[in-house]
Amino acid sequence: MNDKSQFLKGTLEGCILKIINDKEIYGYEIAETLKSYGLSGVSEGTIYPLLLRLEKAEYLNSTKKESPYGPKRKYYRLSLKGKEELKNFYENWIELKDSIDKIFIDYKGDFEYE
Amino acid sequence: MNEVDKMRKENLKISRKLNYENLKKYNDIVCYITVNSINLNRKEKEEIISDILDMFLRCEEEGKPIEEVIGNDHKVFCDSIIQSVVPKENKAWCYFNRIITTIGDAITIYFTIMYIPTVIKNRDFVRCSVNKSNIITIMIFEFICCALVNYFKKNLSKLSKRKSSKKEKILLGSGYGLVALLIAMMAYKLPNCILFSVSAYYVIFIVGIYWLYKLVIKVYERR
Repeated sequence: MNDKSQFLKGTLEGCILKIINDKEIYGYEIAETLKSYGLSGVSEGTIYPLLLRLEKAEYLNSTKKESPYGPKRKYYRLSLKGKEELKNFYENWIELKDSIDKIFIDYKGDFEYE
Repeated sequence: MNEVDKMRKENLKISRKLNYENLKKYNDIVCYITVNSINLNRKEKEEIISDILDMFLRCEEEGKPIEEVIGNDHKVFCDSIIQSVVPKENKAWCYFNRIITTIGDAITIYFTIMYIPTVIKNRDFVRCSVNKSNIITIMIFEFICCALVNYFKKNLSKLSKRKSSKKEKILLGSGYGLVALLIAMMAYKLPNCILFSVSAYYVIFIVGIYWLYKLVIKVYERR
C-alpha cells in the first residue's frame, strides 16, 4: 500500500507526456527531469518501455539525432494524438485528485494504537 | 547495404567500446530480445538494441552499474520492453496458426524421417502409409521439440553463462535414452495396422503448400 511505484503506475505515462510536451527530449533527460521533481526511483530503464508503448500508440513522434559517444539518440516530441491524450489525462487527474482531497479533508494524519 | 544492416553493423562496432562485464550483459540482452520478439521486424529490433546500447554507454561513462538503470534482472527488463511493443495478437488467428503449424510440422516430420527412408529403400515413390506408431512417434517428437525450443528461448542467456554439471548431463542423456526407448517400444508393441494411406504426390503437395505458407507469414512479420 505504501509502495510509491504502485501509485505511480497509472500516472507515470501522463507525467512523461507532460515533460515531452514542454520540449523535444530523449529518454535519459526525461528520467533526470522526473528525478528533479522528486521521483528519484524512476530510472531510464523504467520509462523506456513506456516510451515505446506511447510511440506505438502514436502519442509520440521521434527523430534520431547524433550523440557524443554512442549510437544515434532518439528524441521524442508529442503528436497531435498525444496532446489530446495529455489533456484527457490531466482532466482525469484533476477529477481524481479532487475526489481524494475531499475524502481526506478532515484527516489530520494522527493515529492512536488501540 | 540496407538501413537495418547498417544499423546492426554500427551497433556491433559501438558495442566494442563496452568493458568486458557490460559487453557480456549487453550481449545477453541482445540475444534475449532477438529470440523472444519474433513479432517485431528487424528495424524495430535494431532500434531497441541501439537504445539499450546508449544506456550501457552512458552508465559506463558515468561509472555506475547498468543495474541502476535496468534493474537486477535483465529478463524482467527485456520482457517489459517486448510486452510494450509487440502487438496484441488476434486470438482466433493465433489458434488457427498453432493448429496449422502443429499439423504441418507433423506431416513434415513424417515425410522426412519416415517416408523418405522408405523411398530410398524401395527406390520408388510408394504410397504413404500411416500407422499408430507413426502418429505416436511424431507426437512425442513434436512435444520434445516444442519443449526444447521454449526452454532455450527463455534461458538462452543463463545457459551461456554456465557449464552443465555431470548430474545434468546424466539426466539429459537418460532423458534422451528414455524417449528413444519409448518410441522403439511403441513401434514394437503397437499392432502395425495401417490407419490410412495416400499418394506420395499429395503429401509432397501439402508439405510444399505448408512451407510456402510459413514463408509468407515470415516475410509478412519481417515487414
